[in-house]
Amino acid sequence: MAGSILLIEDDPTLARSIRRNLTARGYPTRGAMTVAEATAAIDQELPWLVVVDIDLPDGSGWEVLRSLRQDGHTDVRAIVMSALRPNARLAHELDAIGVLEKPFPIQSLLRLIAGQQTPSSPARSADNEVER
Amino acid sequence: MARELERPDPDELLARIKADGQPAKGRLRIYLGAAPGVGKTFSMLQEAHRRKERGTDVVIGFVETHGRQHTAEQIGDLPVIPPREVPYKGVIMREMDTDAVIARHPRVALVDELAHTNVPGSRHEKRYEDVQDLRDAGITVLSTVNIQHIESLNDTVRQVTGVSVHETVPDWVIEEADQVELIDMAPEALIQRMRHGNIYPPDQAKRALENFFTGANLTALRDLALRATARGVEEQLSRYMHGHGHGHGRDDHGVHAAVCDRILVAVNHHPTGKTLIRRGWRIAAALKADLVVVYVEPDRGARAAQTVEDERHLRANLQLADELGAQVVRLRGNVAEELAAYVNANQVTQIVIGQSSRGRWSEFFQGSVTHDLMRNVHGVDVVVVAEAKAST
Repeated sequence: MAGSILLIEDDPTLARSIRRNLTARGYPTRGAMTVAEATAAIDQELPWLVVVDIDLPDGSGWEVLRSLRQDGHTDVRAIVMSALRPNARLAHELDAIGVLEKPFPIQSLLRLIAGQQTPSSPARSADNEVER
Repeated sequence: MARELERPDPDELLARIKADGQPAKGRLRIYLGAAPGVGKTFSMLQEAHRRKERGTDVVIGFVETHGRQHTAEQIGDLPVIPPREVPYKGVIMREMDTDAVIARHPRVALVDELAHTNVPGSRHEKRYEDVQDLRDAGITVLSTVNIQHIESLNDTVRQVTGVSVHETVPDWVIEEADQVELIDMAPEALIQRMRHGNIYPPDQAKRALENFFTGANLTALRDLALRATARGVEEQLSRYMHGHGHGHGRDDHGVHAAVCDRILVAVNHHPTGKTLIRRGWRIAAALKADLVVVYVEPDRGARAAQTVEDERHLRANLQLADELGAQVVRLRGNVAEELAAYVNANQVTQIVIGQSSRGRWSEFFQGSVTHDLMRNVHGVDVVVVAEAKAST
């Protein structure tokens, strides 16, 4: 399994800010802004974790998780961000490790990720980005 | 509540300080590093403790520990101004509370990561602008930056290491610093620190060692950092010599060049203009020369063919020139003729120009700006930069 996080968020400023926080802590992070981009990014390189916003321009973040699970990628961890109260049943069904209801502090996301045991056999990151 | 009412309005305080002409602008000391994990923040915190022990009023304006335990421990009993929580699109980010730091008015404030971009809704877009406000209020600032975040080195870092850097700080901010201290660490030692989990937790550390933290990358970045620091020392020496009446335009030790050399960068609406400007800036910095960035607005026919995208690139090019402290000149007419006339009238000593993106046959029949220019200027070096991938 590859060593990067896939952040699926359609607001570029927010995405940049979250990515900066993740890369600064040593998590190589790739970005996608739509369901289509996320699907292409997953096909290109399987992330070990997806952080996905539910409200995306071309569909729902749940679709990304559903196709991940249907393709047999049950070991890819998922954190869901949502402006509305997230659907707990869907989160459970699609095996999300965390659900963050907006507004939430960035530290909540960082703590959730830090609590995860990342894969022990990292592959080359597609995004060669190191910020700080 | 009563305490809130008593707190002076920071803008008012800033205005009053400016109006009174007191106190003097705060100093800026920058801890420069070649890579994450060399110990910039740690060194800055150590210096803060030293000053506090000497009785100086030191506060932490903003320090980002990135979850590193050693750095967090180093904060110790230093007073911390609580960060401001800025909600943006449902995520609450933490930014420096510049107003609170100014209101507290310490003698020295620590502000980590000078190149940081603030979340929209903050006082300024960039943290270095907040630092300017603190200094205007008479507060001395200790700050940190990595070499890859310096604007003029952006292209070089990308080409050498393949690392994309999205946040930069203009060179003038670094040049304006009273002191730049290089936190140097041999690549082997840094890799060792990484292996020991002192920078990132083990999983991330392993990935980093396979990607960014290679010996080759770290050596290249360290080389850049050493050169940048050496250049800064040379500039300080040159300023000192000017200040003490040495070598006013007549000796052969580089001071002469500061008076005479003038580098001209010719740009148009193409995004590669940024690469040309940075190249010109580096030449100008090495020679201690003036930098002029010239755009010649083409004749009406060609101008009408420009798109909105072209206009955007042109604005970005000229903005970068301005940020790097270049003199920006706009002319109108035939590009080669106008450039040649400007060069001959303004004692330009070196021209930096991009390679034509047109094919050789097109140039053969229609002529090229570079060739026309070279025919019409004399005693001027012309640097033709091979077409580089545009940087944004």
